[in-house]
Amino acid sequence: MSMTKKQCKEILRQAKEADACSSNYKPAKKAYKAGDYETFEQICRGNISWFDDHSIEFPTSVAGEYIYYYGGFKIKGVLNQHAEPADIIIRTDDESEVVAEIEVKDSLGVTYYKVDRQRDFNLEESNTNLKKLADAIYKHLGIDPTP
Amino acid sequence: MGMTKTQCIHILVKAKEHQACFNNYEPAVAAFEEKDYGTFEKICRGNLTWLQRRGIPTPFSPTGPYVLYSDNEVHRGEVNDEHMDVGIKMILNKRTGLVESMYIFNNQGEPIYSLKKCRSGSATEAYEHLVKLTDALHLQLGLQPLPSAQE
Repeated sequence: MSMTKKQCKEILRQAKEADACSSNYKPAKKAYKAGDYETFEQICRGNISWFDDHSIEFPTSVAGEYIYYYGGFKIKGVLNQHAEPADIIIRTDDESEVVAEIEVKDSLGVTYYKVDRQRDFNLEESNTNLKKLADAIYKHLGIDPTP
Repeated sequence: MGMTKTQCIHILVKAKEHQACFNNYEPAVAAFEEKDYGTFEKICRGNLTWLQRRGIPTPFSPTGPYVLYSDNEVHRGEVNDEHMDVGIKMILNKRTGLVESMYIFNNQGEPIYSLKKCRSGSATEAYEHLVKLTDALHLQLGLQPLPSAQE
């Protein structure tokens, strides 16, 4: 953990006060109880991202991976030192874990490439097609995708 | 080749008649002269798809990979016998060769996932971001990124 448990708990407390974390409080608590402090930290960092979106100041340095639950989606990404999402953001359906959207951001936080799901399907079909997509891109980049 | 050279040439002639192939005729002729019949066939199939989607009858089935050039883009994909895109379709910038968009279709020709380039940038930037994307996809699928992509 790059944040202390105390810092994480303070984030959660403040998020709860600001009505931010109804979807996040339970997974955070569950991860904490399971001793999975890495996931706990990522979910707490997700709340910091929410603070930033709502102009609520939080003094802790937050750079690192985060998880945020919102509207039936699980959002995984990386926050830079300014609490802005950077690099890669992956949105999956919280229940099915099917990938709904992937964004690749540049160093300024601007989206460079974006993958969007076009219709509903199951996890197996999603994974099969995402593997095909990855293989096609690797091949286009001159990287042999075959093991 | 899935089509004969005669069939391919017939498609090109017909496409030219219907003013479809201004951007495709030269690459097709170049591929033919270089005896690159694989590419030649794909370009002809691109024209065949173009003809069939405009209701211009052709006697051949288009099934297979195709290449279609427009003023600014190169479309690379695969069509089934009902002229629908299946599998992966890649749209490249004709001048830079950069990936502008991609689609993955199911066997019914319905798009499943799309990929779009959201801003302009250099070839190096585009390459780096596509590598990031594919590496992230592999990690999401529980696979390791390919070693050559990490270099």
